[in-house]
This record gives sequence, C-alpha cells and structure tokens, in this order.
Amino acid sequence: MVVIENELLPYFTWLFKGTDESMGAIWYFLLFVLIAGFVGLVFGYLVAAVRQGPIAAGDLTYRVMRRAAYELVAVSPRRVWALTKLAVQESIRRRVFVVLGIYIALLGLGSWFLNTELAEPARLQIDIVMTGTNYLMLLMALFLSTFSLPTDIKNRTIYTVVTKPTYAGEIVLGRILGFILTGTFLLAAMGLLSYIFVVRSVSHTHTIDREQFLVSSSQPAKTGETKKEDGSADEKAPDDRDSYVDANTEVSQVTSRDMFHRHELDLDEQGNGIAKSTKGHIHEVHNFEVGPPLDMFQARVPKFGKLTFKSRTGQPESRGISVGSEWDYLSYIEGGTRASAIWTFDNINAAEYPDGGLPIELYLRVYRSYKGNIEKGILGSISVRNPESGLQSEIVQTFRAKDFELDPKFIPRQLKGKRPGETKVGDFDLFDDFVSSDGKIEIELQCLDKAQYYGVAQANLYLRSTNGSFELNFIKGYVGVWTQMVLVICFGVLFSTLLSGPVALVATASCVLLGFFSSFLMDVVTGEAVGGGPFEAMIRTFSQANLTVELEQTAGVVVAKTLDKVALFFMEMWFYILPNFSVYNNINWVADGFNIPADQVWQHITVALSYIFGVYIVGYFFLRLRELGQ
Amino acid sequence: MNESRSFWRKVTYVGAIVALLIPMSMLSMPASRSEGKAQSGGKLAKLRQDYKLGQASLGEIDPASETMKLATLGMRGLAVTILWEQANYYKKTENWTNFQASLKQIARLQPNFISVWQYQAWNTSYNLSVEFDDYNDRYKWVIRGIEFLKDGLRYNKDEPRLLWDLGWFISQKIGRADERVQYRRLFKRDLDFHAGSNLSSEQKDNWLVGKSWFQEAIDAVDKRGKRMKGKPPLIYRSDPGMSQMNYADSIQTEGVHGELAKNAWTTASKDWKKYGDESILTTWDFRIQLNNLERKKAEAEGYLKQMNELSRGMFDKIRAERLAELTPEERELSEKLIQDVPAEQVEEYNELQSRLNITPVNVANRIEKDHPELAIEASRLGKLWYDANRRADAIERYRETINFNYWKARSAFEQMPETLEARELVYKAGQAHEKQDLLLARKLYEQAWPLWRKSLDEYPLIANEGLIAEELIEKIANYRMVLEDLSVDQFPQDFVLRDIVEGFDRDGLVKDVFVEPATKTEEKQSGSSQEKSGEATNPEGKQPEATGVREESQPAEKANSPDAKSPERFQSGEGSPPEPVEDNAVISEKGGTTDEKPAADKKSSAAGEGTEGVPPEPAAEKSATE
Repeated sequence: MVVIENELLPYFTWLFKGTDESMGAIWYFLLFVLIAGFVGLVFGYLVAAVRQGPIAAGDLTYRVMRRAAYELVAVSPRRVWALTKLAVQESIRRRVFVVLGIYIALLGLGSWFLNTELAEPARLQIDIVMTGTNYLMLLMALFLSTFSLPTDIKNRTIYTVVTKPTYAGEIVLGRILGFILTGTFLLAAMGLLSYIFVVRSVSHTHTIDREQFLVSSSQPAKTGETKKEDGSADEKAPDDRDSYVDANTEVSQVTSRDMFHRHELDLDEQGNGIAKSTKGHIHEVHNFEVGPPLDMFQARVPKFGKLTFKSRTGQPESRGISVGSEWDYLSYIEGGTRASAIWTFDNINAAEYPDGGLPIELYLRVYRSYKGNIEKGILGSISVRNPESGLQSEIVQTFRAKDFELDPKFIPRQLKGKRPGETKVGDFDLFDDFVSSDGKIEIELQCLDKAQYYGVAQANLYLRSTNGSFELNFIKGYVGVWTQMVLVICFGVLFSTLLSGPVALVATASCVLLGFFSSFLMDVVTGEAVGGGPFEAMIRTFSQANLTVELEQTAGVVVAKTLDKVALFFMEMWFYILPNFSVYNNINWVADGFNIPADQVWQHITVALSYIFGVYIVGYFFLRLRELGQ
Repeated sequence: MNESRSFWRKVTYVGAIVALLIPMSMLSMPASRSEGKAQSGGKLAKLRQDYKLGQASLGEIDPASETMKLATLGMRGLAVTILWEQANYYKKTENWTNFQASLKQIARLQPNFISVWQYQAWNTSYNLSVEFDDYNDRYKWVIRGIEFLKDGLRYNKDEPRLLWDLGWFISQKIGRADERVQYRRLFKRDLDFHAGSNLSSEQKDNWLVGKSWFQEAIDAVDKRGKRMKGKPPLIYRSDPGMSQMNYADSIQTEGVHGELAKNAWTTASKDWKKYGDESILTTWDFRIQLNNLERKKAEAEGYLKQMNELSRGMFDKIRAERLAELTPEERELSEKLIQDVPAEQVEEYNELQSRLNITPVNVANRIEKDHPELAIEASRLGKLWYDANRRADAIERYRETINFNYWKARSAFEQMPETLEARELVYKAGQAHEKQDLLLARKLYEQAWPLWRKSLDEYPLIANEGLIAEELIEKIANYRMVLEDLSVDQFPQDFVLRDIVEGFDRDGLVKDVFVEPATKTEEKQSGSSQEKSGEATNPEGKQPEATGVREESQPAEKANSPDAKSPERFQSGEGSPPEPVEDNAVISEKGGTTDEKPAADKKSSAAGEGTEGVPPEPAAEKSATE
C-alpha cells in the first residue's frame, strides 16, 4: 500500500496558492531569486569596492549587471543547440554509453540477487530495479557533469568555444541541456530494458492435474481453512482426528507449485475459472490450461479524500489514538464506541462512476487488545453522510477486516438513511442526496468489536474508478529519476564552472548525499532529532554518551553547543537551497501498483526547470568570474 | 659508478622479491587437483582444510553471495550495517517484502555469521508473524522464518545451532503459540513445506518434525564433529525426548487415543531412556549418564562400607577429635538446629558442620599416618568413594535441572491402560458436553474419575507435581458444570479426586464445592499440626515446603553409613535413596537439602518420619526404573 505522508496538492494550487501554512512554490522561487540576486549584487559591489574604490565599484557593478541582463536575455537558441550538440558529442567521446553496457550486465546478473520467492515478487522487482537504475543514473550524471568544463578549461579546449561569439550563460545552458539530453536517452534505454526484465522475470504459469481435480471435486470437502466471503474462516472446523488422518485431501484443488507459490482453484467441471489470488496476482484458467499472471502489474487510479476522526465520545479529532506503534503514520479508532474515521471526497459526480455506486478500496490495520476469536476478522462498518445536509445513511456494509490487504468494497446507489432530527428512515440516492451541492461526500468507517482497533491513514481508503496504464505509470516513475538526474547535472555543471573537476565532484556528491538525508537534516536543525548538532554529536561519539543522556556542562560542551548554533544556521540555509531528493522518488507508487498523479509529475518537472534556470544565471556569473566567456 | 649501483640495487630488489615469493607460495598456494591427484597446497590451504574453514567445507557456495562480498570492496561491514538499518526501517514502516529482501541481502553478505540467521529467523517467525491478524498469514511468516533457517543451513552445513533452532521453531513456535490449533492443522497440510519428504500423514506433526531436527543437531555433534555453542548438552539432548512427549500430549488433547497414543508414549519412554543413557559432559569436566544414579550411589555405599571395615571405628574417632578441638562456643553452635542459628553465624555453622562431616577421604588420610600398612588400600577406597559420590551428586543435580524423574515417570504413567482410558473418557465427556448430551457427559466423567484415581495412586510423583493436577482441575470444573446443568444439588463430597482439587485448585474453579464445616475444621487442624511439626506452607498455601530442620546425625554420614538403605532396597520400593550431599548445603530434617523438591517427596518424607528418616520410594520411581 502506498504511503503518502504529505498531502499532494493540485499542480496550480501548489504553484500559486499553496496551503494554509505555506505559499505557492513560484513565490518561494521568486523570493529566493530576489534575495540571492540582492546578496550577490551587494557582495560583488563590496569586492569591487575593496579592489577599486566605491565609485569605480558602482560603475563596474552597473556595467556588469547591464551586460548580464542583456546576455542572459539575448540567448540564442541556435547557439545553445550547437553547444548542446557539442556536449552530447563530448559525452559520447567520453564513452558514456559504457554505462548502458554495465547496466545490461547488472540486469543479466540480477536474477542471482532478485528472488521471486518473496511475498510480492513484482513489487520487489520493480522497487529494486528502478532504485538501482536511479543510483546508476545519478552516478553517471555526477561524473559526466563535474569533469566536463574543468577538463576543457584545463586542456584549453574551452577557447575553441569562448573565442566564438557565445555568451557565458549559453555555455552553461548548452552543457546542462547536452548532458540532460544524453542522460535522458540513457534513462529511456534503461527504462525499456528494466521493463522487459521485470515483466519477464515474474512471468510464469502453472499446471493443473485434471484427473485429481475431478476426483477431488466429487469428494465432500474436508477443508477447515476455506474462507467465507467476509474473510472469516469457515466455522465448520474439521474434525481434528479426521484431518489428522487425511490431511492432504485438497492436494488436487490447487495448481502446481511454480515460482515459489501455488494457487487455490475455483473451477467448474470443464476446467474453466480462475486460480485465486496468491502473491498479488491471479490466473485465468480455460479447460485446465492456466494463463499468464493477471493483475500483477497495476496502476490503480485512486481518488484520495481528506481524513478526520471522531473520538470515542463522538467529538471531532484531527487524529485517532495511538496504540504505541513506533511508526505514527497510522492512527487508530476504538471499536464498540462512537470513534470513527471519516474521509471527505471532493468533486463527486455520478458520470464518473458508471457502475452506479462508489467503488472504494480499503487497506486496514488491525490491533487487538485481546485475542478474541482468532478464526474471525474484526468486525467493521461503512456508512456515508452528506457533509452539507447532515443526511446520514444506515450502515452500508458490515465486514470483517482483512489486515494488510486491499479490500474492495462497493457503496450502492440506493441507500437507506435519516435526515438530522428525523427518526424516520427513508430511501435516498447516493449521488443526488448524499453528495453535497459542492460535490462532497463523507465515508465513515467504524470498528464494531469492542476494545479492538482499526488503524488507518488518509491514503488507506480511496475511491477507485479505473485502472491506468502500467506502462505509462512506469514511465512516470522514471520521470522522478529523470528529475533527480537533472538536479545532479545542474549542481555538477554549476560547481564545475568554478571548481576543478575532483573538487566539483566532491561538492556535487555532498549536495546529493545531503539531499537524500535532508529530512534528517531538518530534524537536526529543528531539534526534533535528539543528540544536538555535529559538534555535540562528536563529543557524544567519543565519550560514548547516548543521544538522550544530558551532557555535563563542561567548557568543551559549551563550546561545542555554541559552534553547533553556527553550524545549524548554515545547515538551515543549505536546507532551503538543496533539493530533497527523496521527494522525487516515485518508485514506491509504481511498485505498489498506484497511478502516479499527473500533478506530482508536473511538480517534479517544474522543479527541474527552476533549477536549470537558477544554475543558468549563477553559472553565467561564475564563468564570468573566471574571465571566460567574455 | 652510478649505473653499477643502480644495477645492483635492481638485482637486490629482484632477489628480495624472489626470496619473499618462496615463503609466500609455501604459505598461500591454493589446494588443487592435477592429473587426478589432489595437491594439498600451501600452509594456509592446509589449515583451511584441517579446520574446515574453506567455503566449500562450510556449506554451499553461492555465486551471488560471493559476488556481493567482493563487490563491497572490503566495505562489507558498512554495507551490512546499512542493510540492518534498512531492515529495521522496513520493519517499522511495515514494508514486509522489502524487509524480507533486506534480510536475504544481509545473509548473503555474512553467510557464515550464524547469529544473523538465528536472529532474523526469530525476528520473522516470532515478531513479524504476530503483526498479522489472519492466522493464515501468521503461519506463513512463521514458516518464512523457518525457511530462512533452512537457507542458513545451505551455507553452513550441519551447523548444530541452526539445526537446533529449526527443531525449536517447528516444535515450539507451531506447537505452543496461541494459534497452535490452527498452526498445527496448517502445518500438517502444508504441501510446500513437506514437499519432497516421504513423511506419512501422522509424521507430518510439528512435534515429530521438530524432534527429527533436534536429533539432526545431536547427530551433527556426535557423528560429524560439530560443536554446539552456547547450549549445555543436558538441555539440548533432552529435546528429542521432550518433543516426543509433547507430540503424545498434543494428539491426546486433539482427541487421538488408543494404540496411537500409547505408542507415542512408549516411544517417549524409550527416547527418555536413551537420553538417560547418553554420556553428558558436566561443568566439572567429567561425564555422567543420568540413568546411572542408583549405580553410582550403590558404588559409593559399597566403598564406604569397605572403608568402615578397614578403618575399624576411625570415623567416630576422627569426629570425636574434631569435636574436642572445638571451643565451647563452637561446640554449642555445632549442636544447634539450623533454624536456631542466627543469620550472622550461618557461615560459621556450615563450616563447622563441614569439619565434623567425616568422609572416607579424611579417614584415608588418617590411616596413611596412623597405619601405613593400610595406606594403599585406604587411599584407593577413599578415591573410589570420592569419585562415585561426586558423580552421584552431579547426576542428581542434573536430573533436577531438567526434572528428569518427573518426565520419566510421566511417560510410564501415560502408558497405563487406566490413564489411556481415563483420558479418552474425559475427552468424550467433553464432546458430549459440547453437544449438550449431559447425561452421557456425566456418565463418562464418572467412569473416568476412578481410573484417574488409580493411575495417580500408582504414581504419586505425578499427582503431586501439579501439571496433570491442574489439567484435571479444568476437567473437574467442566464436570461440575454438567452437574449444575443437570440440577444436581450437591457435588459428591466423596469425590475420588478431592485431594487433587484441594491441593491444586489455585484459581478456585471447583474448590468451593467441598467447603463445609467439617472440612474446614479438618483443614484447620491439619494446618495447625503442620505448623507444629515445623512445616511451612508456600505462598500459594498449597504445598508443604522442606523445613530445613537439622537432624542430629549428619546426612552425609547417614548416607555413607552402613546402616543406610542399600540400592537393592531402594529399587525394591522399601525406601528412596538418601539425598546427595553438597558441601555447605543447608541440611534438612529428612536428610535432604532445602532445594525445592517435588511435593511427593515431601509428603512421603513426612509419612516416613520415624523410619530412620528415609522416606519410602514413590511408586513412580519404581515403575519408571523398571
């Protein structure tokens, strides 16, 4: 099940409006450009003033800015394209496509490391292959972007470019675009190869022993493990002695074991039906011939709602209760009380749901405070409510919770319900009566067994309309990888305009590393991560004091804490500049079988473009500093 | 000149390189096979072979594992640390697939680090399984932990710790969990787990499969020279026998009776006897066999007797001398009973008792001085006595650790026709009760109780140990419900298992049915008489504790004296063997130590008072010995 810790905003809301706590992304960007521009201007003026006096410095600054304004705007697409082609050619000359060979070799050996015996083989294969591709691409981008300019400068081959009528910004932009183009081509090739690898490695079929199946079908069932539709075990427990003597009666009711699993069969006498779900997929069976796996690769298109809670006394709450789990992503509602979890969905209209009702999918966690009947799941219910009129339905469905399993449900069109203040139960239409005038509907989940609990998060109940294309989703997953690659290239090119190759490499690698751990860094800055800043941590490391021990206020500790304040200030500054690489990771969505929202993809692309723009400006000045590209 | 120097320098370098290459090749030349002949290779290769440290000797060679180890370029430790962190993170965030994948990678990086396999298998079977609500899912995760151990065995052939863990997980996790009824059922039907095995339906029992793995672990030690680290042989060698008993017990609980159950217990008896015959290395660095207790005691007894005859009153003489050496205060202290000794003088008291306890070794030393002509024989007898006595003492201690006597008696007890029938009747009565056939249930229960009585009378050790008694209390409570449902006014006051109820009904399920004035008075009287005789009650107020009252004569002396019961008499049921003596042990009234003993012994001890302080032999011992 996909984990969404931060709410995803619609693209334009994210870009312009933002949330209650933060403004739109574009305003942050412009603010940053203004501040950075002002700081750069003042810094440049001061340096010039020291070297040439205040008046000459003013004149110089004015001239530099005037020229920069002109050169940055008068960028020639033709020249940039020529430089882009040059960067691509250079990449080819530097045998960047060897990476592709390495990748093919790694995939060839992949089957050694990626076994299909685990619980969700497809999920694991997608996860590991895409993550591997991600790291390989970042590594390639790192080496490609950081050594290019410094090598040209060192070899003086840069003069073959700068002596032509080009601007410094165009050189930077050309490099960035050239490397992005090369990387994109490589990524596309890797994506295609990884798709073939994943699909092929989990492709399988099974066989059915027709005779045994027919023999066993004619015998009375002896199983005690068959489940009812509601998920509970069959109450007709087998006679233990009987099962003891003859435990293998059902041998023929299953497929052969292939790829570390087998399926229970649901077939008619002609051998038509399905092999039931195991390891996240089913097979169709025709005349005892088992087809290829189905539903293994999905791209469910969920419509997420906003989650609120009611306490055990029925009071509104923003979260449920904690059952003591270390991971606080889920919060829990208590059974047999008025506690409930309520999802509010927007923009509901009947036309989007051709089946007549609302298809939902539920992913519940169960916490039992006492054992109860372990052969039965915990009982729960679903009802709907109109948030505007308060019209409340009767319980639409009661069910037994399926822990760690996506459980599809369907809310029918015709429902019984009561208006607020009325006692009479009437018939109502789901879309006409339960959806408010602004298109909202509430779905309420309750746990019915006393002192047992359901754990939920916002993404754990959603409306599901259609399935998206898995292949398209796979590509969208790689857009996240692409975004990260662009960011690395931007940083690499930026540093390489000012620093030598190895130094630029280290600087860029540090940025990437910090970017991957930026959540942790933020926790350190805000004090949420205990143990203090880097200097205090060093003292703790050497004195073997654990993170929570209060350090004695010695002179050394005081000095370390003071230094930490300075360090944390700069860390905070960096935090706002450095991209959080983990945010651009869409792999879990693909692996979990959920369609990546288009809003998310566009947000990533926008971020990538903004970094290209920023590096273009800053890179221009850096190159000018080196008296290149005059 | 310069050219010449440079030339010689190069010659020196080449010479040094060649000189170093020779010892290096002798050290590290790999083992090889040429023209069908095996070459043992250099010293390191030989050492690797001798200590079986080569990967091929340790287990299967996995190319993936080897590649990963090489690919980390010496940063294996770092990679493993990161993977452990990741595994913990995945566990926290309930990403079970990735968690499992991380474990596999960790294991591949450290395939011969046994603790990794053990820890993560336990993590999977015990910690992860319970995260799931559906017992079918739980079972799958238990099995995944077990499969992980099997993977470990591929890399670490015949590793006893992994073999033992397999036995433990399969038997205990499946057979003792809250979901044991479901787990056992699923285990029997698990086609994939049993794939490739020729086990019959009956043999697919988790206890029996676990037993076979325990036996594999023991075989790895005994036959393949492996070492079981961190587990005392006394414990791990008892596991096959205990698994067999658990199997027999489980199938009876599930309603399998008759021959199958009897055979299961017969096998358990044999297994336990085999265990008793095994040679077990003790912490004192000598070996014992648990079945040898009586023999060793008889040997000690014989040497003592011989020494007595040889020394002609030397025991009393030495004791008298030592008494004479004591100051009046010491003598006064030594004559006190242990319970009268102030706490601060207990150590001194024990030391005095130790000094006054005259052993054949003391006598042998004295004979060496006083009668040199008898010294060789005395010394021989002293040594033989010492050896036999310490072995008997060790056997007894080890027996207590694993409750050897109880399980020996239990397996015999369960084979009695009365016990087998009683169990079947109680099971059927329970079923009749479930079906609300109350009359039949009552009839069956009432047929069962006298049979239980008979069995328990035959084996008082079993009756007084509590395990069976507690099981019976539950059944008696069901019987009570049947009677209540049948509107029977009063629970039969002459109920044949009344003593069991009164002794073991700690939760008060049935005890109240016997509360009547006469009984209360009796209880009070009985209680006060116990107090008078110095017997205390334990916190539960059920079982009399050993009193720790000292007897006038020293128990060691008593045990060693010719007047003590002979082994033949113990075996014929005339009395039980005296308790072994440990130096500085707190001596009890009955000649035993204050270590907690089965209630049967205590009760028997009380009954045996006045007959030389030696309690009668419990019938269970007799039968089990037979």
